[in-house]
Amino acid sequence: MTTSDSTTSARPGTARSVEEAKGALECFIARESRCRKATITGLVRLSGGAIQENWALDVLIEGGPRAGVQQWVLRTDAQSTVAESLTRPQEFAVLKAVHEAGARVPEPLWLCRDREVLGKDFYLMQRVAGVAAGHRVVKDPGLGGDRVRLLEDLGESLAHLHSLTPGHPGLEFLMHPGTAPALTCVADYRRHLDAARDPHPVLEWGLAFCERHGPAEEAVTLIHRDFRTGNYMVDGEGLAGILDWEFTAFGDPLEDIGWFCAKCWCFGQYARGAGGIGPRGHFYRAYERVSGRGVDPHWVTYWEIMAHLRWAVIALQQGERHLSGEEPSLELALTGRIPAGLELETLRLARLFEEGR
Amino acid sequence: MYDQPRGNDLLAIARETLIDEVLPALPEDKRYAGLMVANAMAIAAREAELGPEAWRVEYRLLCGYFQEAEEPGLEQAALASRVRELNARLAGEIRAETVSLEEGRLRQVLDEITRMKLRVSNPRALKAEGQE
Repeated sequence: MTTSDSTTSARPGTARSVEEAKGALECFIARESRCRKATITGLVRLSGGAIQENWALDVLIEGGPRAGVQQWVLRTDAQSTVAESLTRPQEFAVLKAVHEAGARVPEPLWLCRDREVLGKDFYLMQRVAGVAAGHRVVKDPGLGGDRVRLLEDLGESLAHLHSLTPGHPGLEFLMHPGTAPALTCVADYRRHLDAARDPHPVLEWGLAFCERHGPAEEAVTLIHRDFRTGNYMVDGEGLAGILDWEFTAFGDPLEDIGWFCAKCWCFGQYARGAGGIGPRGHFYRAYERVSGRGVDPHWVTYWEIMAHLRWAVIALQQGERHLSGEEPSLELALTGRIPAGLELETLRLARLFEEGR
Repeated sequence: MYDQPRGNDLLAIARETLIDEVLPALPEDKRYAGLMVANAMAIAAREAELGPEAWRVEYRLLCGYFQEAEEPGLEQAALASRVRELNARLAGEIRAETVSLEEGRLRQVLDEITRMKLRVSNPRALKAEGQE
């Protein structure tokens, strides 16, 4: 194949569809899995993910340590990217590190940076079966197995992930918030507000409140930054795997706990304060047992305020993608109307935080 | 003058038809899109009904907070522009902390404006308030 090829067959080094690259992909898999032959028997693009493409891959491996029928996911970049999210090689490094640390995640297999294969970076990981959709997980008691066990598994996995600290080999590229992660968040969200179309006094008030009342001391660990119901997979037995690692960074571990417990991620199940799944106590205790760090509800409230502020600035950005004409979409348009509800919760949580002092 | 029914009536019956007749017939993978359409229509209908008055109430609240006299009889475009200016001023003063964050009057204005926005954008959030 030559680079002057202008027909539909893809050129090496340029992005091509996963279907077109099947042969090259089979060679890559055969090499990495040290098998005689690898045959892709199934290839389906998974729904969701405007920023990443995920493909379900069934592979027949003949010979070698992974012989048999394998079910994997291929993850690569889609057309649009978000500047703040990790690249695929960075995400692969994170997945490897947290898998080794004991968090329940799909096992990462191999990263491919050879542009001859797909024309862009991609990696393969085990495919975990189950359901992630938040509104289904909170409503269907048949999903996720025993709810107490599910909360404990989530707490334990989060604690394992939080055991990684700055300086961890292989994760040098990750953002580090300095000594005051909360104030770094405030500054970051203010920058987002500065770019917004309209002024938002309530969000400004929430950020000023967080700045004024920030914690005197904070731990800094690896954090997921989108750890919530909807971003982990459950099956009939329980937690199958935590997904969506593209926003991982170093930060205050309580940020993940506040995000997980925030009302905006309970999918309407407000009485079940831990992600719409159940009472917070089970989640907190499992986390404390594994991490050795206490969870102070007062500071979780603080990070819940921050969670609502963060989701509000993200919602404004998503609404802007529609408004600007860059990506007309009903879903993005409706997301632009979400902040008012988050503002109400910000004001309520601030009162709760003050009462708890 | 247009013949009746008016736009708000049409929107209401269109939404009812969507929910009763179209949504049940949609394949599972289009159901979410159908629900989003119904939600967008509901917001637009509430905005048509409550919106004009909501701008005036927000203007009154912000003028009250800054202790400024309201300009009477502002047209919609001028009103929206004034509300925007006042919101920008308030946002700026909060960030600069030239106002006291703890001040009850400030918090009350923010609370009332937020509730008013929610009556259009998401009345269910007002009902769900305080549900723990």
